[in-house]
Amino acid sequence: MHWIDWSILGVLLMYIVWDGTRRGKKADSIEGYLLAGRSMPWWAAGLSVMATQASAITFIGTTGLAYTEDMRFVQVYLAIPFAMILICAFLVPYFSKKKSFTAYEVLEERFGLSTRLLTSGLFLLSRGLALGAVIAAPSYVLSLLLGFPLSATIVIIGTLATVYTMFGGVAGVIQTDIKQMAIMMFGLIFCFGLIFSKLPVDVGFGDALYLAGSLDKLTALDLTFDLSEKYNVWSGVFAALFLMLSYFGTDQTQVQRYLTTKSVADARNSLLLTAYAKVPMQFFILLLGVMLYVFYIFNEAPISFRASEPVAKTEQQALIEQQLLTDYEAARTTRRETALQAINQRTKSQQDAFLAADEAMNTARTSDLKLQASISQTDVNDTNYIFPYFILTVVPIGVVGLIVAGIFAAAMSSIDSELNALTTVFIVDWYRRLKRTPATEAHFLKSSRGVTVAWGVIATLSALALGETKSIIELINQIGSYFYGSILGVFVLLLWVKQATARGAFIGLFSGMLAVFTFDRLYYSEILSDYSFFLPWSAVPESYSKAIEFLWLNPVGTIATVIIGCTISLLFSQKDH
Amino acid sequence: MLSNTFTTLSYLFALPENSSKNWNAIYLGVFLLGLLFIAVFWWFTSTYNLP
Repeated sequence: MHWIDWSILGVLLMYIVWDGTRRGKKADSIEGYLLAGRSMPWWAAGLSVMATQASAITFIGTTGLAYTEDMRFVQVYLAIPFAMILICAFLVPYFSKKKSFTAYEVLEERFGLSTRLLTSGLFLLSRGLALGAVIAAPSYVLSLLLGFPLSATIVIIGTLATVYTMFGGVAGVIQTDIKQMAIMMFGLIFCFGLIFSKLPVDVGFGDALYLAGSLDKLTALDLTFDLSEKYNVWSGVFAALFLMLSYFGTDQTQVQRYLTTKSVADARNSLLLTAYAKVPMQFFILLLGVMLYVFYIFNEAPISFRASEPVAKTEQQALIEQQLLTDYEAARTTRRETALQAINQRTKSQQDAFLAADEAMNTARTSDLKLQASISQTDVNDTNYIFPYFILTVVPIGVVGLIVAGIFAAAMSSIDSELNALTTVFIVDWYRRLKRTPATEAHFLKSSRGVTVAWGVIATLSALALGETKSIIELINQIGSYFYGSILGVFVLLLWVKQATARGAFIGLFSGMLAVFTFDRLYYSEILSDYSFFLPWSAVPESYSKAIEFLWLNPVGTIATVIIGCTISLLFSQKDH
Repeated sequence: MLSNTFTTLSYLFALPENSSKNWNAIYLGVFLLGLLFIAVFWWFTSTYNLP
């Protein structure tokens, strides 16, 4: 990067750390530190909810997903408006009435301490694991952009976020989230405009849509019902409804945002902001990824966005790689020419010629990636490197620093919220609840700051251990899916099943998780027409694939928890009461 | 200033602060918005996705 970009990046990062740190000065109690004295305006809490969700993964993972596949991922968010209605109507007034610090605190009154500890413990486990991935994602990008080792980048991001979250508390988190959201949105809008300014003069927005549509990249809605398909309208509306209800209604990273507001109405308004804005925002980001694909039809694109140097180790490998590169370049030139002809003539034959050239180019690209994988024996998926490559090679000096700061900001806006939520759950649901000797507010305040640092260290270490795995965006959702549905099931029992007992909720929760595990390990072979169950440590034959995709695990967990919870409660009702 | 802007917007969207709101009407609006998103994406896909 140019020194101007370094300066902009440095100044913005220092400003974020300073701004976050100073917000915690007034906090003299854990309510002030962890809930900002319940005094935050609704719009600030609402923007913080959005910033927490819009992480660096949104920046790089979602654009990469649209580039390599299509826009179907947007369907995951279709359930948000419906989920928000249910949360605003039922959960928000409940939390407000109980004046709780955490989502899990309210469970103790009905279902006992064990259920509270189990649900909060699952939160600590799942979010603690996911936090490593949230730090690792932007670190990949920044290590590429800045030429830093991956491990050093992870340590820098983890340290900065931990420092201002430790000093600033939730007020610091929310105030910095607002600024971080603004920087991130500026970066996205700027890149969108830049793409169009770099297209050939005779290629307009309609032409870009025509080319993307020809390539089947504008599929935003898939009506096919298939449990083994990751993204379709059914999984997006019904299965993801359970995920969104659990995420926004029972996950402390989100619940804590609206617990900082002063009234039920403010808490509802903050959530409805996400209901209005989240889906259009995701659509825009995915469209940006598709437009990047169109951009690289007319501009030079590398065969791999990740490796710029040949990886061949033998002469034969070098020859194969050279041949692939020649095929790729020839197909790329043909694709550009046929694209221009397809735009001008809009005939089926020209469209087919363009599609054939695109397929030839992608065949060469896929073959090269496979060759790289076989030589280096590592993951060579470059999905998360496409947008960073664009930033590095196309964005002008000065703005690069701002966008890199935006990626930093997006990462930190998610990390800070999670550090703060993990601290709140650990202090309120575990430490303060189980502490036998009385302690002062000052003691808990000091402990909260110490625990924030501890979580920051754990998160950074888990990010270092995580290394590079498959597309991070899916990994995080998968981690959540193992617990989310079952925890939601406990809240369903709490709100709507009067007969539910502590024993029912506790066993129901375990049963829900067991059901999720069972369905997750269920595989199907189309060739053999056979369903088989494979344990995590057993090898899955190539002909088998997952029978049920991860979004559907959420309703499985909720339904199993509710059914088993109700049954156990009714069977032992007399004894328990 | 930011606070005032958002408060003004909340009035424009019939979400006045510190007054009794018809939450059921708001929920109906959000529900219809959710359906609108689905309809728009269906239209977008069927209009622009060509194969």
